[in-house]
Amino acid sequence: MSIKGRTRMAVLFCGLLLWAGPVAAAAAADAADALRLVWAADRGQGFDLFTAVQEKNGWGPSTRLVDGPEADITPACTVDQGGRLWLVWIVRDREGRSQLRYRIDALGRKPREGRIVTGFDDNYAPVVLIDREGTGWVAWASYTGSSDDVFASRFDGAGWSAPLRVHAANDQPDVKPFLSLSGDGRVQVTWLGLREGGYQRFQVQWNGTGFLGERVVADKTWEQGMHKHLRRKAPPLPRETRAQGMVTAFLPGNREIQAVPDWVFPLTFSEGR
Amino acid sequence: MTRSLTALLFAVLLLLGAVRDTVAARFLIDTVGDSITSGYPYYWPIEGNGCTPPCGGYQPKLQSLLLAAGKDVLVRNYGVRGASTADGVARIDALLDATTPQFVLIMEGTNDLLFLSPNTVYRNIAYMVDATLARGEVPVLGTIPPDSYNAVQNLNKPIVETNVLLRQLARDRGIGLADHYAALVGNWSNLTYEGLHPNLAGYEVMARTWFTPVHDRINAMTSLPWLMLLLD
Repeated sequence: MSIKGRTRMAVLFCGLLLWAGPVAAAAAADAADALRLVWAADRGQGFDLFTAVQEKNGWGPSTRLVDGPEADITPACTVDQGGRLWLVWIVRDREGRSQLRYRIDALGRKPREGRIVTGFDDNYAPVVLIDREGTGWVAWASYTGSSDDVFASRFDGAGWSAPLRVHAANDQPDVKPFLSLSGDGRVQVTWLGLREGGYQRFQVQWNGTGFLGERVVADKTWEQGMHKHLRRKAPPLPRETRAQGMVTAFLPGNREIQAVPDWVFPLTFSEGR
Repeated sequence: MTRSLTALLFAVLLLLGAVRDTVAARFLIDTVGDSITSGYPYYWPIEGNGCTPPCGGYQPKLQSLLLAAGKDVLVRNYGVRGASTADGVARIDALLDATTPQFVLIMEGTNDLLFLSPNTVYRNIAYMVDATLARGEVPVLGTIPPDSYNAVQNLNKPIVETNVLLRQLARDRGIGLADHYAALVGNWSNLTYEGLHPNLAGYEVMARTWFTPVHDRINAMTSLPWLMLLLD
């Protein structure tokens, strides 16, 4: 993964709502190729967030999504079944503090936007997911004063729940989370944890009251057909961008397809069942 | 008595010869890190494969400095463009198993600080240092160079914080430190290619910064047999 050195961008794909039900399936066929791209870029005013939608022969014109005086970086996004864009990212101020923020588009009305209170000054690498009930989830890593830990929160309609550490407290780094759905629709968090012998991928599932069942995940669990799908569907990135993130798309048959961030599994993707 | 002295003298000469051979042995120096170690933009994309000078950014100059100082060394380049310290943790054991160097120059972290705290970068580097020490090889640690390319992402503070931790790590482990940040920051605008990677002059400064701790460690290693002889 190249974070710095070749471009100034951090990029995230996210898919548009591609299928709205059996009746709309045909009409949505053209839209099935459309992906939305969100990235952070410096165009002379500091790092802001931009977006573009895939068109027939490439990416459409980019528009500025978020424009603030501080550095807006490491965006992640998804689209709910109502077509609303959910965006989470980090705002890093000049003192080096990094706050977690969110924005939920309201389809033409003023978007809902604000800070997700984590309780910590240093927050990293947020990701976002909509579950089958339409609830938004966000996961991220925070430096707690002794190590990086992974936390998650869910949006209940009024606001974000209190952050919940997804793993048992420990003194080792737990970083770079990823949100996905299990085969039976449970929200699961996968992340990298430094343990004796190096980094391992861990995963927990939400059981309605908490995250349970921490286990080590093997790479091959995730290596399914999405990689080829995205390679075929996604046009080359705009020149100032580079791939860093994940893709979430909804395909005919309501199969949710997610791309795993390359920090979890480099350039591999998974297909929800 | 004379025969005994002659035998003793002969034995000493044999030992000195063995020591001289040890001193003259070629030292393998592996350089591990990201695109700055690989030598971007000058020898990119030749990277991560152990290539030897003229491949690299600071490596050719470092090797020539050490050769000029009478140290027979081969500096190998294992820099990987875009590598993070987590990547370094993942590959250090297999790399050292395969290459068996005497010295390992570790400098990484530039690619991490958008996604990891300085503390985790420090932990990852410490893992690589300890993996090197566990093999009986000699690590030398480099601080993260300045970064004006990404200044608009407000990364200066985490770079400074990480370097404080890395200096402490070198002290704690009793290993050599090449403080590239300190060597480069005062004249960074003239020593950088685009704000992130050094230019040729910057890589030369880095080579000189590596030189002192590496030269000192080679001296320590090569003088040890003489010390052992004296102690015997």
